[in-house]
Amino acid sequence: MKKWMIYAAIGLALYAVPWIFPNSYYIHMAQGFLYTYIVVVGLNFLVGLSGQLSLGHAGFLAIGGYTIALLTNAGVPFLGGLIAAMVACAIAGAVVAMLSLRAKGPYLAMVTIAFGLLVEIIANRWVDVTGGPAGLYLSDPNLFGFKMGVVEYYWFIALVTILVTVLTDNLFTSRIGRVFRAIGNSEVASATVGVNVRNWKVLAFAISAVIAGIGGALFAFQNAYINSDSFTWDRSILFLIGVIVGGSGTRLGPVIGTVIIFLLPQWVQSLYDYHSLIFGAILLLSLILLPDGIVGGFNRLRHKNKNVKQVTIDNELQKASNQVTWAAERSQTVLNVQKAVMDFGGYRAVDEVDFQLNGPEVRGLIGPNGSGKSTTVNLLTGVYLPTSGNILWKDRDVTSFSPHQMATAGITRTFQNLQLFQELTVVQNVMVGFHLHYRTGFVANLLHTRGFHQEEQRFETEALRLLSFVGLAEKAYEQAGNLSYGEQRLVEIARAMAVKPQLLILDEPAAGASQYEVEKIMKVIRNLKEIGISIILVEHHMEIVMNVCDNITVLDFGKKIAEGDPAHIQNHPHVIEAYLGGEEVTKLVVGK
Amino acid sequence: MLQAIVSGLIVGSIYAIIAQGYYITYITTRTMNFGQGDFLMVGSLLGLTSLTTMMAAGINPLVALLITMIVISGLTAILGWGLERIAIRPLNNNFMSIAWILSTVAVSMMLRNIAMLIWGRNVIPFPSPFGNEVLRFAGVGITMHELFVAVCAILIMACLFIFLKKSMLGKALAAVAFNPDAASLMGINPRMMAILAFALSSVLAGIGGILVGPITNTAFYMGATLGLKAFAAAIIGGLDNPMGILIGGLLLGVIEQVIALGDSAYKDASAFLLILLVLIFMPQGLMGKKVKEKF
Amino acid sequence: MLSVNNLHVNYGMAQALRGVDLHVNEGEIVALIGRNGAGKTTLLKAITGLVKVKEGEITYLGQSLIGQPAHEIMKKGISHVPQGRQIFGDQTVEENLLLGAYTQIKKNPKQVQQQMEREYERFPRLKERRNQQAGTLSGGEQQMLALSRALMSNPQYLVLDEPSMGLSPLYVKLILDTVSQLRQEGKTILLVEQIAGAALSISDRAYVMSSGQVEMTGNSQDLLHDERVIRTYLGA
Repeated sequence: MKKWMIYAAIGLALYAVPWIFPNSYYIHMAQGFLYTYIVVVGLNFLVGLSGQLSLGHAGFLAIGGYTIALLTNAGVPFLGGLIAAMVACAIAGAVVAMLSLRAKGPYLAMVTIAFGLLVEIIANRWVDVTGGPAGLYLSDPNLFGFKMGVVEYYWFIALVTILVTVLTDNLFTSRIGRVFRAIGNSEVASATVGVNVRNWKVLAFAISAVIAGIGGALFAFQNAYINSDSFTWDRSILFLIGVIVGGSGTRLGPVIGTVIIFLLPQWVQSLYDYHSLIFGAILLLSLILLPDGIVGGFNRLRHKNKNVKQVTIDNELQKASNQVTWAAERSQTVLNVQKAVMDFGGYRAVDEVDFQLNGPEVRGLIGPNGSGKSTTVNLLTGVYLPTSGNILWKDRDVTSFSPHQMATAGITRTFQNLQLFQELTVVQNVMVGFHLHYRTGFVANLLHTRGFHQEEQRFETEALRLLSFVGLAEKAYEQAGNLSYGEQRLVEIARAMAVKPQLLILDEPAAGASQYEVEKIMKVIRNLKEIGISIILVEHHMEIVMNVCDNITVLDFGKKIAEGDPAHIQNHPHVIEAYLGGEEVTKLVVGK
Repeated sequence: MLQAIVSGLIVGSIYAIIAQGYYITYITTRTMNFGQGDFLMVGSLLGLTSLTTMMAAGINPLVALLITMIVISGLTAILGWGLERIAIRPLNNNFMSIAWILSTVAVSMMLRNIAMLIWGRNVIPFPSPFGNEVLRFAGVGITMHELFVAVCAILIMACLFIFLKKSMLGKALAAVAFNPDAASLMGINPRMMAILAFALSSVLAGIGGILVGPITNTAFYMGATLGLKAFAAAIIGGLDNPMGILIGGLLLGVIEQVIALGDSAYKDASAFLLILLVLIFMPQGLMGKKVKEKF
Repeated sequence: MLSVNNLHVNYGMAQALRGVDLHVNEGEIVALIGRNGAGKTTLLKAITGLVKVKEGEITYLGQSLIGQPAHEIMKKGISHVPQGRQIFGDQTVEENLLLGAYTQIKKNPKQVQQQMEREYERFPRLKERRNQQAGTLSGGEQQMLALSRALMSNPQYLVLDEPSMGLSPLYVKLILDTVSQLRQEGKTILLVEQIAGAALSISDRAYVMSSGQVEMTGNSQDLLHDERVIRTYLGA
């Protein structure tokens, strides 16, 4: 069934409600259900998609509600007030997000709690403006001079609900949603493919706040009355319960969640004295029995029996995979690391390391465990800021670049401990890798324009091409987390290739891979070299290092102890001692 | 002004006691009881009942208070154990998971409901066993009960610090906090430590409830705000530093009281404004540890 | 005696161990060598209960260890010195040692005290630094501490994971000499070591692991002269 037909059917059903329940009590309830649902959709967007948390969403509800209330009372038309409420919430959401960017875990939770409570307190105490607990009275909602009664207002809410649902659905399935999910899965990996994680997190918060604000504005006009008791911390928690119990990150979750948090309390209302006892028990049970929420649990059952979309590797794809190249776009690679130092509270992980990369080559970076290889990689990709020293890239000082800036400059990487976007499919992982090459904007993705469809199609094909380059095209539509270790490493390489880097840093690409996979990885590295990308290869696997590297830099205790071609390194006394054989150590130990 | 600072320190020390509960469970399990405030409410109401019953039976108020504190400690410890068993352990608590926030909230909702059924909806005055006598030092008035709170707070903090730093169990707790795998290789059972942590945390809330009762009076809904403010205190100080939490609690208490001098309406707001300010500049709290992630 | 049969361990969908067989007889030093990611650490963790076993059997003195938590296995007399030392950095040297004897300190405070003296004799450096925070020790000192901490419970079996990691040659010698000496004291040792030459020199038997499987096994002296081992691991 076409997507728009489902929406149309839902729209019809919503339209028909006033005839099925010709009773203002029920219509009132339906209104309540819908605006609650809208808020839950917004929170689900934040929690389920981008992996952030808000324990103060009632605050946005309040900002939306009061903005429209104050503006309409001042004579602004209803629709203008609604738009103003959305703008106000977008600003508030962005501010909260910016305040909480540096905070993590419980600290982040506290920022949102503090925001929610501050709004609640202001609503309660700033009586001159908000009316406090006594509240504000509003005129009836008025659309272009047409006064809406209960039923008309319900229809209006239903229309907004459909719009919000369609648009958030669109975002979920667009590259925007994909990037949000990628950030939720691994921030650092998102950054190394060029995503400015900070801005995107702020955007997620703002979108979520706007949606909550719409809910708040609709709520304010439900009774043409608004007071400060409606925006409590309990309410924020209730919305979160709706998201989690419904199934966070799923698209149907908010519907079920709203049933739980809105309808359930109505049903058990007759048991008012036991209301929160029952509600609490249901919540606890559902958290224990259905950790992914109701819809999440249902989906899991369904997925067990579902076959994944198959990719047929036709000749065309095969041929195309041999043409994966962006050599024409490449300019000369010149990396210059000067006296890089990295201290970790007294411990010097990288100690005045110098090295240069002139033009395309495969450079091995080896050394015993703890010799500073991974730290060096982190410095080169902007994950760490060096304590001192400089990194020059094509004569430009990139020392203080953040990972996404490095990606933009043409440097990206894979990770020793895999950082795939586990919940995305393999092909989606690679498509996130193309982040810097997408051209459609937010609006095109929101509305699913023709340009959006064309672009999605194009990058999906390109992603499949890259996957067939690393030999994984047949697994393109499997969830990345379900692949074997070695396969996941190959997906990381494909994702990094999607960035179209000029310098690709591979951090132990063969660790944990089987012999068969190791051979595959070696072949891929050789092919990459042919394309003309510079590669820095951190690896313990001597077979690979000696066979594919043009030059090798050896680190020990954070210092560079040798550099040269494989033959030179293999015979270098310091290297043998430190790494390859430990002859001296062996002698010491055995006493010979 | 001085008066405000003194009463601020008293209230702040109660925040600090409750907040240490967040610290203990956070470091051992990376979870917290978001219903800590409602555990406090239970401690407070149970304490009130036990105290009034005993005093009505003619037992010396001080003896009654002592017995009450022991009984409440036992009961809240059991409550904490139960919380760990039903709301923490059954959940798959990975780093990203937020299920524990909701599960502990669920338990607190149930507790609040039960308390309402038992003690009713109204505010119940909690008479201090020390009467209402006010002592004066250099123009600062302080009730006997406040003095008692101060003494208790110092004792509890001292005991807690000695327990954490000196006892074998405290060392084991710290070991689990530092590295659960390595701790289990020492023969320490991390699950037992989690139970211990939740029991301790609940006892701190319960005692906090008895101490705070005569200051705020008691009702089934009293917990939410206190729990959140204690959480704010813990975050301000730094969740992984008990000394920081003590300072965070006292700071919060004093700032609240001082702001209340100017405009009492915004007393509650000051706590949350303070926290935003602290977190903007010090995202790990005043004395929290910075962690560097490895890739 | 400790024996491992057909052991499989998965991390998510990734197979870390695929059918490993291994046994360690009493009084032996058995070395486990292989590249990063071969599954050595996972094998040790499976033995001491830190990772879940998917399939296979681990027996110790005739008892199955499968499904037992780490803190129970440790009580049977198998002590694990984890990779990267993992000392409790925010506690003092002496507190670390006491935690090593956590299971005995109530029952036998005197014996624990004696054991601590023995450890201080073994590594006088630790005695000098007994009240220093363990996190401020140098790498070599931390390794001494990790070893001593594991010995505090007076275990029968010792499982060592890369004790030489990141240490300078002199420290490596000290640690590996200590390992040899521990065998003299009657301990049985399973040793994972990156410096293959040294590991083979001090051990009786060895297993070479690759991709989650045992690739070769045999007498250490023989392996030390095996063409394939030399080429792959000794670099000569």
